[in-house]
Amino acid sequence: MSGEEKDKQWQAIEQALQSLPREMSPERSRWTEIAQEIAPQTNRSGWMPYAVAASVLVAIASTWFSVQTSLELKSFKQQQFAYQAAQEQIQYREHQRRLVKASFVENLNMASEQLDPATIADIQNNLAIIEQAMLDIKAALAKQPGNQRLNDLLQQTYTREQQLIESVEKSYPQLRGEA
Amino acid sequence: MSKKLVNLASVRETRDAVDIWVSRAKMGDIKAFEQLYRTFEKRVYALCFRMASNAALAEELMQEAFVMAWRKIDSFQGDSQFGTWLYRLTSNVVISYFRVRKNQSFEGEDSEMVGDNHSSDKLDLNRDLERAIAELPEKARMILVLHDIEGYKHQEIAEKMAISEGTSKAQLHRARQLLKARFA
Repeated sequence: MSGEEKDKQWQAIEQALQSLPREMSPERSRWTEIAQEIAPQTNRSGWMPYAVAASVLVAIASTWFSVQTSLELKSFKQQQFAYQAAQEQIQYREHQRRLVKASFVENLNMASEQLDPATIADIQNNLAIIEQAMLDIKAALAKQPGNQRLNDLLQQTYTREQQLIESVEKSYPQLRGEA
Repeated sequence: MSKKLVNLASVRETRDAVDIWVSRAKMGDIKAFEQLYRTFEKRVYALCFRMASNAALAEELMQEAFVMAWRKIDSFQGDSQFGTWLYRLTSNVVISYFRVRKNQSFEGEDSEMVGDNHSSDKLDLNRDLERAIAELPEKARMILVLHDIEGYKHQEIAEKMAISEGTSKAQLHRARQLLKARFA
């Protein structure tokens, strides 16, 4: 089959995909089950205003007795929250990075026979340098968790690794000598 | 007034109604949320069915998507249409099901191969397209549905499925080749 015929064939499939109905009817409605699952949350609204009012009263009383303590606590909580948020962001990015990198390394290994060994060594060397930089920054962050400069540096290093992976993936045909 | 203008007016009215139901659901109005369910049920089910390739599982996933939507509705800020937000949430629920509950990563190759589980009958494009999609390997099928039917970009698919854009493109290419082969 020629390339032109293949394209025509795909065009017909693509057109059929676009014409598929956007809606389909399930065998039965699931509203009863959904309503059962979300109902307890709705019932909570009955006592929630009282709970909120009680919290406000306690907060006002605490503030009246010890404004200074409250301010310190608030500041501590803000710092704690910011720290937790930063940690969660790092963990999420680290998780994504590991998956992307694992896929990249697998693809690189698969393509290794077609690539120049010196090029592969160069890519692996760059990845190792970035990995070491990340480990150093994370070690420094463990000692100074609130250091914004270190956090920025870690994010920049993640981005640099991502750019390296993307640029290598884009240039596979060229590296194989196909381009 | 032309038919097209009448349809546009009807679409606008539906959107206005959806906005009101969303506001009321955010305040805990379960009846308003039921209206949202009735409006989007079929569209959400179609997405679940095509991604999961199983009617009973699709119903379960649709249910989970709406429960999740109720819990997260406060995070819907109106930056996009409610439907768009709901479909994104639904696709995340389906992907999450296959990744977490079946304890698998979307990286790497699909273990199942097309050809193992179905006959080699020649299919008719207009009649059998849904069947051919359902028979695709899991990851390739999901990416084809998200990209070619739902219109997501590779970047977004890669983020959703925690894979690289290259993997997303490769799986889409594979899915298209397999579909072409089924209708050749």
